[in-house]
Amino acid sequence: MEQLNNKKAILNLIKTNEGVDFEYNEKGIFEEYNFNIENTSSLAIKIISILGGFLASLAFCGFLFLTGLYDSPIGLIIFGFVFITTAIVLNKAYKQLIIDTFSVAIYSIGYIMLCVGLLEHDVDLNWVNLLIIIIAFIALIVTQNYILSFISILTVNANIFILIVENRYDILPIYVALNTALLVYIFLNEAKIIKINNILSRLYNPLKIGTVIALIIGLYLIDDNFKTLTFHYLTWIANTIIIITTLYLVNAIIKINNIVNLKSKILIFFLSTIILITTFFSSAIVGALVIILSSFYINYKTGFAIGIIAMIYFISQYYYFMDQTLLTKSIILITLGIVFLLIYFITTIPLNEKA
Amino acid sequence: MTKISREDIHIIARHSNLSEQSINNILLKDTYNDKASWYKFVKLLFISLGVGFTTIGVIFFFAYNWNDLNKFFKIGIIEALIISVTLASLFIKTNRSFKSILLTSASILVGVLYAVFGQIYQTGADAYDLFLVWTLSIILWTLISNFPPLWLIFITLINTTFILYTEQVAHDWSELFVLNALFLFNTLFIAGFLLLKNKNDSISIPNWFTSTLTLFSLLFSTTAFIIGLFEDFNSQYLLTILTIIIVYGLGIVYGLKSKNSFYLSVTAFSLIIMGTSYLIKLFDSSEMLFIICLFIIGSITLVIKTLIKLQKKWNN
Repeated sequence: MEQLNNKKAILNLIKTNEGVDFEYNEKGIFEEYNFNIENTSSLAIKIISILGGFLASLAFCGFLFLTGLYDSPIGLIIFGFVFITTAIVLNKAYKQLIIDTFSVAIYSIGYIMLCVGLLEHDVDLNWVNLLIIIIAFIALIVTQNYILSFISILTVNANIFILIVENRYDILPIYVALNTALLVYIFLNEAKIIKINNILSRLYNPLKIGTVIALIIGLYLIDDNFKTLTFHYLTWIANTIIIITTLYLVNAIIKINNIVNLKSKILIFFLSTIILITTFFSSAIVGALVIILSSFYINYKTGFAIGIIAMIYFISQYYYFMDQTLLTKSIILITLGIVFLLIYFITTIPLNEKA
Repeated sequence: MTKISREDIHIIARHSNLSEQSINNILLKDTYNDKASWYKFVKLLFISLGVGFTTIGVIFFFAYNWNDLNKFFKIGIIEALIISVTLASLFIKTNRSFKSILLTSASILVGVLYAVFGQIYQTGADAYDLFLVWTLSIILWTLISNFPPLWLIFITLINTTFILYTEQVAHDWSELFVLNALFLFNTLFIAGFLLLKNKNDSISIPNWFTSTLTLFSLLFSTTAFIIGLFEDFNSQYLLTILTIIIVYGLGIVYGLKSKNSFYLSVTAFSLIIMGTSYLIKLFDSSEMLFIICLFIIGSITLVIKTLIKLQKKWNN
């Protein structure tokens, strides 16, 4: 009850600030609040329901293949469709948290059966990928359940990855760079996106976590496989996109901090560019930094924590980067470290004065 | 004044004609980090990246095969670095977190020193005694700084030393014994930290720290349970099961008392994994996988249902 009174106070506050033009549907708002009170879960619950769903689908696939049930492609395709549809319809109809694990499991099992069935039926892999992307998109439009949408977003991303790897492996860095730009766009334009329509508004939270995870997987893949391609022109294009994205982010950060002094602005941009250019050799590290900064910008703690873990991992992976000797790497790192320390000592003082 | 949360603004935006501009203003004012938190964060980011990159740079520098470099010079550089970083943390007038980060860097450099020592004198860089002296050397710094990342490094070092010791010296210790010891040891650490936190309000121990330790600890207990399950029954396994029952019981009680769903959900998840492996052992057939699939879905749904019920109770 206290919670709802609190919400009433918030609504009144907005009403006072917005004036007479502010129209709202109080019944709708409180219905949604009441629903959320019953169905809000902690991060731990979300993670175990996803993990549980995956483990269950893994066990089911094991069962399917050991019993030889996969021999009938048509059967697999039909059951795949049935499973996916059941998951979507069930989520649309019940919307309750407790069916999450079950729907995650049958949703993933459905995709696996459909894929295997279609491939066994000799359908071209590209078409399979496209079909799955379309189905996942439809799922996103039909139900905006947090966990199912999160898996749909990852499914879309995974299939685009496979499409690229199968057809034009070398443009993978560009895809990852565009993913970085997309993430920054989504994070920095929350008000715009949730105002477009109710579907996007409900998808906003799963979209955030989905793009973070998809980007990290992408960064991991290019970090692992493109070490020898560093100075390929496509990598340069990708890195340029990442640099522009980061500068856009830096600009937003400057704005939110009210830094008006032109000299400080130029200094910040100059330093960011230098740091970015020196980190050209590992876009994964820059990508992790982008996740950290944009998550902090919108006060998104999960993304922030994931970004820090990714950052530590990618820096440790830099050790195995074959194009440079350990000595070069060591010099780059020490130089960067000293630059960061200098920025700390020089810029935090003038920034403070303007506060 | 109540802050307007992200959930509030999303729900209200869906059911009203609130403009994009107003939404943005509310988000900037109430939900997003303000200038003061940015200032704190940017400072911390620059220090961490600065000290972190420099320290890793030094590690890479010594990992490079320096055949021409004289050994006295090599060890001399690191020792000089350790001394200057430690002195800096002692004398530079700055905030506490910067000092702690410097001490953490010094603690890592001590490891580099022993690794280089091991490289020069051919003891092997992974000899357990090097890790032992490394651990012993940084005890005081860990206690003084009381900095969670340094504590995490310290505890990881103790674990590593112990594991290396069992691999290099104590060959006759069974795998179960080692896992039991690791489980108990890490659990005692967690219990200690949680007790301190509850007894003394002035000590702040971040949740991520105790959660990370808990995950490690549960990893050991779950592995121990599974390994023992597929071996002949022995007294060590009895100990494993007994400690699991006691520690998990205490964990659940703690989770319920502190209204923390993390401990409840990870304990439950570990138990579900154990249950699954027990089922695999019970029937070694393909149909079993189907039952396992149902078991996982059923048990996790049950856990989630219970947790939601608890959360509702806690909220009221």
